[in-house]
Amino acid sequence: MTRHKQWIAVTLLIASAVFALRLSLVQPALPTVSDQLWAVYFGSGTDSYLVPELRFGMPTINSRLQALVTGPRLKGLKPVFPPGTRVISYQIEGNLILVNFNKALMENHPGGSASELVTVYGLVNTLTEDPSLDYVQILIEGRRVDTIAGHVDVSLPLRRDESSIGAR
Amino acid sequence: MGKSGLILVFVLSAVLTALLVPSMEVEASFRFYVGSREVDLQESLVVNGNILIPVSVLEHDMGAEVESNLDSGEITIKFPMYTITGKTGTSRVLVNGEEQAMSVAPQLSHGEIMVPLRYIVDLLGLRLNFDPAQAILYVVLTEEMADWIASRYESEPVSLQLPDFLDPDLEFSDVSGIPLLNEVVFLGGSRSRVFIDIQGFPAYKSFLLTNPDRMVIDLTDVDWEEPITEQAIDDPIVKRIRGARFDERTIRLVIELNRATDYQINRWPEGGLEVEFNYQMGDIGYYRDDGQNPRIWFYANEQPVFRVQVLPSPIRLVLDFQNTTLLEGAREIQVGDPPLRAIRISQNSPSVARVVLDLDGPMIPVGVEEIDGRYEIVLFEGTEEEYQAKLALETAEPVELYPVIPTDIEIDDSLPLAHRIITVDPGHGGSDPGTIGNVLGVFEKDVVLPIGLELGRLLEENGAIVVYTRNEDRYVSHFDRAPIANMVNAEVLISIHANSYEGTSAKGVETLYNPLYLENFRFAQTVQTELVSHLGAKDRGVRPRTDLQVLNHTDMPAVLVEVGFVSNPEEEALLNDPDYQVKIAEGLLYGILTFFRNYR
Repeated sequence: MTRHKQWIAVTLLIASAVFALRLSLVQPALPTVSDQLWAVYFGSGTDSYLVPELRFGMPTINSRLQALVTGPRLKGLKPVFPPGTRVISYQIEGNLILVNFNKALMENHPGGSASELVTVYGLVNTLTEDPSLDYVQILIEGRRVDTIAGHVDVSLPLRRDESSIGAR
Repeated sequence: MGKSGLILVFVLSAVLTALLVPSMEVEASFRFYVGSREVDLQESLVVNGNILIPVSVLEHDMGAEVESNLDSGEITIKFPMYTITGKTGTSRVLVNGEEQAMSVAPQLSHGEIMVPLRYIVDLLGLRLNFDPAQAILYVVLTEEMADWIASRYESEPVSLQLPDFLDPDLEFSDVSGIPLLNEVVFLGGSRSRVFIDIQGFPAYKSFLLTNPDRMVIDLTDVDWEEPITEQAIDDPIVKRIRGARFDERTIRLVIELNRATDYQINRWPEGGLEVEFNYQMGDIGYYRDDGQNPRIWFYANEQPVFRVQVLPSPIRLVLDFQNTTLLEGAREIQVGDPPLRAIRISQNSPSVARVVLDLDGPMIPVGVEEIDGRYEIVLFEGTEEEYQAKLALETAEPVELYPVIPTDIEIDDSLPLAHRIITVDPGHGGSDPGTIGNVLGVFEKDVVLPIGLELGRLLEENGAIVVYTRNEDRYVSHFDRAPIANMVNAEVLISIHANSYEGTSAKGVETLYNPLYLENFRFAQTVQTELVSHLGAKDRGVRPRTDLQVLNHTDMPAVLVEVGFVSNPEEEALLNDPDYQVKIAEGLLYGILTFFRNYR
């Protein structure tokens, strides 16, 4: 079993445990339509790929962004944003979402292409889980920037990148 | 950053626009009315300027009977007068049994079959209007159609009457359907620009014809309300503009020219195409100014951009003027003013005019001035290093130079990399420290520079000509690095970086490449293998990326090597060790040597 599969197994296990608990303690009735599973992507342990952490409820853009800013609940997963990162605002234009961050995303970024890729695609892949969104444009205090840490070109809207998910 | 930066920004914004305009599928955001009633479209697509709506809207709001099979994609739409049968993926449909073509094919989206609205509206003899101020798209019904719809849905009456905020006579025809060619405008200017005012970005073909010289643009799937009027133009390049329908699908625009010249076609962000003709380069000559500086002068309608190359043995300085047409053809001027022997001028390709200076000693361009309506390239007798040294004496201000490859080195032809031009790119630098180590606080920029310089030294020992993107602690934008390698016609670019990841456990070597070209993969694989085996480091493999600034704009195989993690305390200490830095440089050298041996 690859590490990737282990992660998914662990995540699913915890998710189903939470699900079961929720069913038995909080809602004895059948799950409602709002009991929906959704994924937020964080960095894996050492191979710097993205791993989905599953959440319950009706995801909104707000809750997806909030989950990213708050960071992973599972031990062993790594946050994708550096400390101090805040989302100032976002705006949806058709299938494009513009997400406006404070400067901490750049200034506090540790650098290195491995962590930069996790930052960028943790955001893009989490938001494009929403089927109506295909593109994510990162803004820093309302402006487009060339790059967050010197490698990935973020001057243009980015598409989902499946190759960042999982592990080797 | 300067001019190249500006151009880059322009290109980027053009690309961004291209992403957002309907050359691909985009979601439309507007309200939609059928007669008096607002309809929730749920979903709509814009494909090549055509709005597609779900067939369920035809069924529930426009009175059609619809039968659709989501598996086969087959669909039948029945209106009182017309029965349309079609299939997703093909624009051919049968209307009352007769074959017709829709402007775009119906397609499946989120479990719904989508059809082009304009086609349906035209078929039914209705009108489709758009009010851009209110962003409302609306169908103006006929009495017959309004009655029919009203009879179909008794509970929700529909009438012919539009809401009073919508103007029944408004015409705004570019919402969907075939783009309209409005007019062709001669903008002039020094490059004799011609603007083709058309909605959106139609497909086109363009080419030059001779006897008489003319440039032709065939616009595909474009219509006009009335033919454009023929225009005679008083201009050095453009003589006349005319247009005619070439065949059912094509409008042909012909720009008659006073002389043959290449051109570029630019898309305007708001839609429309602009033809821009080449810079026109006239007489060329040589003299020495009052300060005895050699100068090449030339006449041109505007100052073209040129690329500089220095070729060794015999020494030549090559100036490639981009998007430039020579007015007087190829020629050679004997100068005989040492070190300049002769100037050779030729049209190297339709878009490049090449000026070659045959030299006995090194000479580099150091500036361009516009004097008395002509342009003058100021030359310096010596190498770039000598020029920099002279400047350093004269002024403390650093001056940006065209990167020039060294000419004053003797190279042994038997060496494995003899005369190979290699760009070494130590990442970050100056105000950009790159990533910072966890324990020692090592700066990435301070690790990759000595590795890069040592690699350069080793490459030169093997006969290569090394061009650095930076050879000191200096800030160079990562966007400007590929252009440096391109300008000197480097055969490979190797970008050296150190990595970082949350926590301390990540470690090892990783090589990133752009998978667009096989050569990049081969280069990445070779460098990764040699470096990992020479260092005995953890092999994190090669990683295809299409989004890295440094790798995306090179004309040659390029890799970005992450030589280790400064976030890992052991690797941080190693990366900080000069002996280990040399070892990394050796590993990279072996990778480059193997790549050239196997694939070059």
